[in-house]
Amino acid sequence: MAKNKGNGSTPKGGAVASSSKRVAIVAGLRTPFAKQSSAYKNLSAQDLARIVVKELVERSEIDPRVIDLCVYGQVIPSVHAPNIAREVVLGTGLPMSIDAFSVSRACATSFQALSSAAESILTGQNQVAIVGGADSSSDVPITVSQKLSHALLDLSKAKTLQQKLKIAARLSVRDLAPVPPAIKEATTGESMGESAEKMARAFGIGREAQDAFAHRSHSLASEAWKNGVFADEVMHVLPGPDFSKAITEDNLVRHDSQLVSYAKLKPAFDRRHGTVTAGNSSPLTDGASALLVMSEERAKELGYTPLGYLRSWAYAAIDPGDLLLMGPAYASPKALDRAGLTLADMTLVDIHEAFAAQVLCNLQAMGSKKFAQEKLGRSEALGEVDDAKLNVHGGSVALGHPFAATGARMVHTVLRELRRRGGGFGLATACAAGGLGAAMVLEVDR
Amino acid sequence: MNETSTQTTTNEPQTVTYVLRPDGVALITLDAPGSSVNTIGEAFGRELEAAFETIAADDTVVAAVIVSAKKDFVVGADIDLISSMASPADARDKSKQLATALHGLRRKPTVAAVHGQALGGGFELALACSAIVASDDPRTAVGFPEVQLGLLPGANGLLRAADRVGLAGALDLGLTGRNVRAKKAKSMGLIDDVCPEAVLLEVAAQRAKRLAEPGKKAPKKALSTKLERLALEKNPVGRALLFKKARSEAMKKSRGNYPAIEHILSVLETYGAKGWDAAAELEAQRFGELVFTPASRALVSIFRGQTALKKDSGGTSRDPLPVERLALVGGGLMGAGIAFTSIGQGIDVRIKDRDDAGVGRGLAHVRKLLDQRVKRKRLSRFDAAKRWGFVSGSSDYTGFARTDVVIEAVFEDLELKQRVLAEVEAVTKPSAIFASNTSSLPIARIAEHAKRPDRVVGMHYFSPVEKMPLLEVVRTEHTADEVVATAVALGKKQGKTVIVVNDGVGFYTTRILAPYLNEAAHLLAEGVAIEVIDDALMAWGWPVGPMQLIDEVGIDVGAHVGEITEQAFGERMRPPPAMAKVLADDRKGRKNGRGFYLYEKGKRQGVDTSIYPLVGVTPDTELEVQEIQLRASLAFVNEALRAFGDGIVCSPRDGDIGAVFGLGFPPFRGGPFRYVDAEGAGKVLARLKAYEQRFGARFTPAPILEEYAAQGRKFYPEG
Repeated sequence: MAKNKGNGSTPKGGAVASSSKRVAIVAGLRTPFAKQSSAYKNLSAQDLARIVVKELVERSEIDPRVIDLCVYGQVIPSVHAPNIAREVVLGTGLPMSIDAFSVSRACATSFQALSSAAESILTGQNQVAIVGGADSSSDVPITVSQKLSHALLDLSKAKTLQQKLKIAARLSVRDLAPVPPAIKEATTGESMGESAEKMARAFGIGREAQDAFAHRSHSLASEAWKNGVFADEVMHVLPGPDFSKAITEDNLVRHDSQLVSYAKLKPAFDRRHGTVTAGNSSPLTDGASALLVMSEERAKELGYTPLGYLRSWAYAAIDPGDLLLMGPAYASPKALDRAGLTLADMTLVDIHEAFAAQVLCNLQAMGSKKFAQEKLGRSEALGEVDDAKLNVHGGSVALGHPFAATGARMVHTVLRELRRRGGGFGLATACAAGGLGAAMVLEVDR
Repeated sequence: MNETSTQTTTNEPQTVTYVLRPDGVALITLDAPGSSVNTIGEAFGRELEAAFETIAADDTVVAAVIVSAKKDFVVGADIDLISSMASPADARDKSKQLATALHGLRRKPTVAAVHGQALGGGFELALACSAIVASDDPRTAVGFPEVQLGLLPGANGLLRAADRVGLAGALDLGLTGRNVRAKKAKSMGLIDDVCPEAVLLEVAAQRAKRLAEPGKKAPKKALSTKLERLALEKNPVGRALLFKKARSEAMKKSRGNYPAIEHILSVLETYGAKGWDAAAELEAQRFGELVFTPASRALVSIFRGQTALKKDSGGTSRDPLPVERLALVGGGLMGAGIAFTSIGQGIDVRIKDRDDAGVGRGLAHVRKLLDQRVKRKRLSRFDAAKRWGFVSGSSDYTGFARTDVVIEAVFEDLELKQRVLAEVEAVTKPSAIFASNTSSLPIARIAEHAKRPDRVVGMHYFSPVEKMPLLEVVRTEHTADEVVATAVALGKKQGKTVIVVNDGVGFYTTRILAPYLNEAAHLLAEGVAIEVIDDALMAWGWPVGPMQLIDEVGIDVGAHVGEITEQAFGERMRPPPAMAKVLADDRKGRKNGRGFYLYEKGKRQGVDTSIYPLVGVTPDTELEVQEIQLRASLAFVNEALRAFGDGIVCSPRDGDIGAVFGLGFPPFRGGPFRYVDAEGAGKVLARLKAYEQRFGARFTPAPILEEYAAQGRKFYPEG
């Protein structure tokens, strides 16, 4: 496949949108994010996805006939509709001719949706795509035990009563209990919180630093809401069945955040010696986000002024049994190299906040020469991130984290903030379960 | 394939032809030449009879299947045939002829393979076969709509239906005229099998062959059905009870205005008591009589008008523009109702309201209508979800840029509507159409400051939109032809019967309703009891009484519209002063539970007698029922004639359809114009003049009525 060549400083084999052909992000939108089982308790991920995509199409005033791809994702799987991207197309009155596939990359799912669409656009396979992700932690698939599941399958094949009774006799009462999904690493059995604890210990990140970072996140998010920063990024949602109460803002942001109150919380994962609390972690959240992307030429043809462009991206994968959530420290240098830029060139840096501890660990690693040499095989550290550039409107700790929706939220916020600042480059990066990391370099023309 | 093709004698193109399949099944195809549907016309019975003569005589034919080459099976009798019948005796004989032709169908086992609608005579044809197999297509349905034309099924269809589903079942079909979908028909026992259309022919053929095997009889009925019928229908006492109940229920609704109802009852009653021959004889006799009743003539006239309007593109020769996106400003019951009727047609709908709460109310109403239909099994869960995907809402004008048509349904206030128009013009493309759903304000006034007055039109829907069949499209002198054509096409897509009228205060429908409601108020002010007024007018054939109607519409809304019409037309539209007192007493009708009637938990109770002291009367004035009926109804008819004379409504046809479908003018009277024709212009004129003498200018006859009476003209000169 003919990929556009990058400029001179681009290493070989990298994913980079060259200046001759760029992927434009034309519009974006998200629902307000809501605490698990709160405002959206009656909505599934599919419902949220449909709501946000429908509204994105309406607001962008795009002729749906020019859209030819939808890449969408959810992290908590749906038993009813495994290909959520297709359901989004079919459930929003969009032309059925729009191709659609779903992606999954844990907390970096909508990064993946965006980069998959970008690849497709850059190789000329598609022109205009809707990408994004949605999750509902209020609507999780509760399954049955493996023994019960096997028995039910056998029962459906059994013919005689005797056969049926025999199968039923195999089951004990315990096998009948429903099984909720676990947020544990499938290979290590370690929960995310435990991983965060492990990382905090390894990097020596204390409770105070974590609490201070959480307070920072809430304070910045609150300020952003008050200043109307999110007004064009976040739609109003009228949840059924009565449609009477409009959800207009994220409901997890603490508008009266006090540093002292974080200290009062008990550690959530290691009750005795731990430092990770509910206050300095991202909460279980319901929400959805979406972006409208196309090639730069197509945007021009259609008369759009893009919010900005995707300049490069990279993914990284590490041993999940080691330090699970270090993805950003691995993926960011790759993406920056591909963009031919350095951390210092960035006007903004946005790091997904799974845990305050995880952000602080990654920042430390980025600034560490030792880490660069030992883990990345680079002679110099990536660099220190200036606090004034980092997560300037808060992050997942305050806004919430509907897993698949977070990436598109970050990309959208960074682009709009870059525009406010008169253009420049921004880095958006996230860790993901399985030891994965994602990073994207975004640009807004000055 | 070695197929024998047999055509009956002549070389003229025929509706009925058949081929003989190698397995001995004669495949009879119904395909009326030069028509999109099969109807039962003059030649149909003859052709069918001829075909079956040959089939019966041909030993190589084992069995037969009847199928249609059109998208429907047979949609009923040809209306022209009915209108051409010379006398009741002629109609009776024609009915008998068809019955005889159908009777010959079972000489060889014959199966009807029904895809699409099999209605009236078409259903009778299917019932005359040995068995009926239908496709599972959602469009496939059977039924006897004859009653809606003031007729009864004249080819033994009711009797055969009774054989299948009992007297009570046949009564229900005959009296309601409702369509029964394939699946339901199968479960009722009205048809024998349901299958996908792709295999319909083969399933029918196999069934026909099985029936031809020696010793095969029709399958037995379930025991429970048998027992029930035994208890109710097979003994004289049970039967008397059944018919007494059916008769009283039917009378309650029809008030004796629809003779077909009584005849359907007596034909089936005779069938139960005296058997086939007596019932068939009575049926033909009664059919002949019914064709010549004024009620049937009027109903047929409405049917013709409706059919003609389906083909009419609004009196313009321009093609309608495609409507893919529709926006509604105002998410009230009207806006949401319009949204609901559009999303089923794949039209993307945006509901804009002042705030989130307004948008939410609109969305909630659309959702409620969808859920209701899912609950009643009118819509599958999946179809409902798909439709739901076509609607969205917003409190700003986002999403309007690509919109083809914007319909405003905001409060009836000129300045507000003008402001909405200006806002919409600012955000829509130049070709976008702005339609106002005003019920009274002239469109030209709303368009006064429009930048593109040629894109402005009125689309007057009736509440509740999802139920009411009429759309009144209002054009101004500036409205472009393609805009009118587009509004008409959109209305038809939404399932409406559309009339196009010229602009003016209250257009056609609101204008003619106002004097009717006013006259009812005058009667009340004279001390006539509310229930007496309502009952008299319902007996005349109105679906609800005028006082109840005001409660439904809203006393405040009525008064507001009344002001607008009074301003425009002066004295004859002036309500009695008593109405101001009713309004001042915070009575808004059903919506605030305070009106002419009492309401409890939204349900209408008896008359609210506290209204009488408020109005300052005691409800003891006794008037002849006919005076109550005619004063109110003639006020309506007279204004309809005025609107025609003023060029608001373009034809008596449109005037009649508008009055019947939009306002509930008694259908069996055919509409105000048909009514004047039937009564005689001179007689109506004399009556109005008498009322004018007693009550003043509000009864001054329409100039056109004077004219028609003087010249002895009719609004429907062709009859």
